[in-house]
Amino acid sequence: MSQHIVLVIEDEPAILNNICTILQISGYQFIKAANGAEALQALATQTPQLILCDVMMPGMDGFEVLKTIRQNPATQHIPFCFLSARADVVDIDYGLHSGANGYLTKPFTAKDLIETAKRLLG
Amino acid sequence: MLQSNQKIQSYTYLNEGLDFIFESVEMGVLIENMNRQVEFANQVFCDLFNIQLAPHQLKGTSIIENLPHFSLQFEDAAAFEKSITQIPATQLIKNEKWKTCDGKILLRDYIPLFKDNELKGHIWMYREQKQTTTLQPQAATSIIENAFDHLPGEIAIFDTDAKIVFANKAYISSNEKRIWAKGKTLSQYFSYANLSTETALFRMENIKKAIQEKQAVSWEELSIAPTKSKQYHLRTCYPVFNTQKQIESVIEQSIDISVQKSLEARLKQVIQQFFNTLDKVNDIIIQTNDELKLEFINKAWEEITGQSIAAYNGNSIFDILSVKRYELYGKMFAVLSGEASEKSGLLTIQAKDGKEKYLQYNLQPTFSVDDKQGVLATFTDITNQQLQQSQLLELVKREKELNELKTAFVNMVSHELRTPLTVISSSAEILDLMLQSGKSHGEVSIYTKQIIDEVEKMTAFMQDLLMVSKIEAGKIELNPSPSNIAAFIEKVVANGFNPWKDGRSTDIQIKRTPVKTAIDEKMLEHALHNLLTNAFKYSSGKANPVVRVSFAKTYFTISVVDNGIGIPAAEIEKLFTSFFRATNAGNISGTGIGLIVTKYFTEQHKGYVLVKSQINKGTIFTLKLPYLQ
Repeated sequence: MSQHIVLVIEDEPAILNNICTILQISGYQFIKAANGAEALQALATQTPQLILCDVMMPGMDGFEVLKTIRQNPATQHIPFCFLSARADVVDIDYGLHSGANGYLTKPFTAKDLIETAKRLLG
Repeated sequence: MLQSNQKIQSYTYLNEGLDFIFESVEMGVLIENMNRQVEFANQVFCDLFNIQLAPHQLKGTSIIENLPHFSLQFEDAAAFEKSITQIPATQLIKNEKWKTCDGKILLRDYIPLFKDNELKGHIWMYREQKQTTTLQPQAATSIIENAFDHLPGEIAIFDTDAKIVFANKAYISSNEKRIWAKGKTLSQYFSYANLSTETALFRMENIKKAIQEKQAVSWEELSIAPTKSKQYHLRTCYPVFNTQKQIESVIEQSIDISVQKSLEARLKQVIQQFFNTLDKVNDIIIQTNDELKLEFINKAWEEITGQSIAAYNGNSIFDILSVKRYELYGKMFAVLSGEASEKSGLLTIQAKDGKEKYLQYNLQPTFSVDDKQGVLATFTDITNQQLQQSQLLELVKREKELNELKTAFVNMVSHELRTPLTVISSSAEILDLMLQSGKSHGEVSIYTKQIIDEVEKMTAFMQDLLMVSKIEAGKIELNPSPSNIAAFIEKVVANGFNPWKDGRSTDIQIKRTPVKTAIDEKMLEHALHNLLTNAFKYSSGKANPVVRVSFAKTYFTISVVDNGIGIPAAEIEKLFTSFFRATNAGNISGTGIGLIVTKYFTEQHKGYVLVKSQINKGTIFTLKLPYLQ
């Protein structure tokens, strides 16, 4: 089975590292991005099968990143999942309505993360 | 020829004492005895029957013998003779009419004369019947006087000396007194009748006034009736002129106006009660005439505005509402002209105490029997409602702010806890996976350190929260000790800011010679730590933040300068409110706690915090601190 590539966008370095480690343990490849700009830069050269993105980030926030990705024909089909400390129902609803395919609230378990990834990767 | 009394000594005089009376009456009287001889005749009798003799010469003469002479006077002489010869003896006969040959009518009364129950003679009384067709002045006067007597009002006629010529029965009820009063003054009569001479004198003054001024004089007179009720009379003295336009007499007339007066008094009372009621009303009520001049203002005006009513009475309504209020004036003229039947609006006025009052007004035309309608204006003081409303709005706003703050706080706490928890949980899971699989995914110490660091962060955050609660409760006290400020700054910067996690470091600039002072290092480190954290957080990608220390004579300053996003000017004053975060903070995480702590600790040093900021240029936070021993 060819390894899926997951783009992880997260400004908190420890969380970014840990997510990538968990993905790696579970057999996924990953691309790290510390913010929206880095992510878009990476997408210019690589096409991941899944994007996991933090909502609250300095500079471009998660919603802007999603919007940009959805506007680009090359990336608009990629499943997109928010990772957020905003755990209110309203926030989740808002996130899903803005076009995301999934919404993981922090703190999440490794199991949650992998199951979500599997589901979104089909 | 009539026979005289040749046998004068032979007759019996029956009517001693009566002849004196009969001599003075205006009737012809003849008295005869039972022998039918003349006992008495008066002059009027002689005149009526054309007898040339003196009355006393008839005494003792025979009636029967002289009868033809008497009967010659009458048209029906035979009937007259018969009426004398056949006397009806005991019967009184009144007003027998006998027509004389020259057209006069004589009325005859017959009175039988008794003495000791025995018929002793006959009395005949003749008088001429007055012509009713041609009324004599005397008779006319008596008819008028009779008519006056039947009028309910008092009527009196006075001569030009104010003496009573006539008074009707209503004026003087007793006949006796009325007769007495003729020719007397009112004063004399009142004194005689035991009445108030004061009243008499006043009436007399008015009679004289009517004569002097040649015009009617009226006045109201109050008297107390026997039933103790008050009686009011409208009295008028009319001067009466003769054909030469000279005053001949004065007629005084009175009309009982007690009912009108009592109605008038009742009306006055009702009106007064109405105005009293209006004075008790909380609303200002103003009534103007058709020229918008004030006719009435109630007491509420004084109570609401603090301005005296007396100062405005009779003036224009514009004097009251002196400030230019074109809207109100426009409405007032619209109501006055009948263009609108009602107008209302809101008005603010300055009360005497300088406070602003909100008045809701309503304008209506006044009721008027003629076309001169004024304006009835009511003003309701709604200052309190307005105040309550604004207080309520303020409360609602505050409530909303508190709710927003609560939401912000919950979100902040949630975020501040969820982030380290995510690190801790994922690190622990990785360690667990490593243990289970026996495979290494990097150094174990990386994950254990992450866990320890995040726990520390969470602990620090919890301490910050506790700190705020302690600060708000005023439970943290200053504990200063001598300190080397330059070294202290180095130490603070070295602890996490040299470098910051993004690789940038802090520049330190010290101006002038450091002065030794005492500080609470723990407090100031906390204060500076917060400022430096903000400086780095909000200037991502910009130049290094700078810590500038400057020593002046009586104080020293520590400034933290960044080139970051800045703070909107309108929000600077809210910076030191718990959990407040500037609107441009966006996704930069923060608790809204740091600056409160910084401010509080600075103030504990008797210093204060200065903020200078420009959007997208940067911010300078300066702690200005005195030297402590």
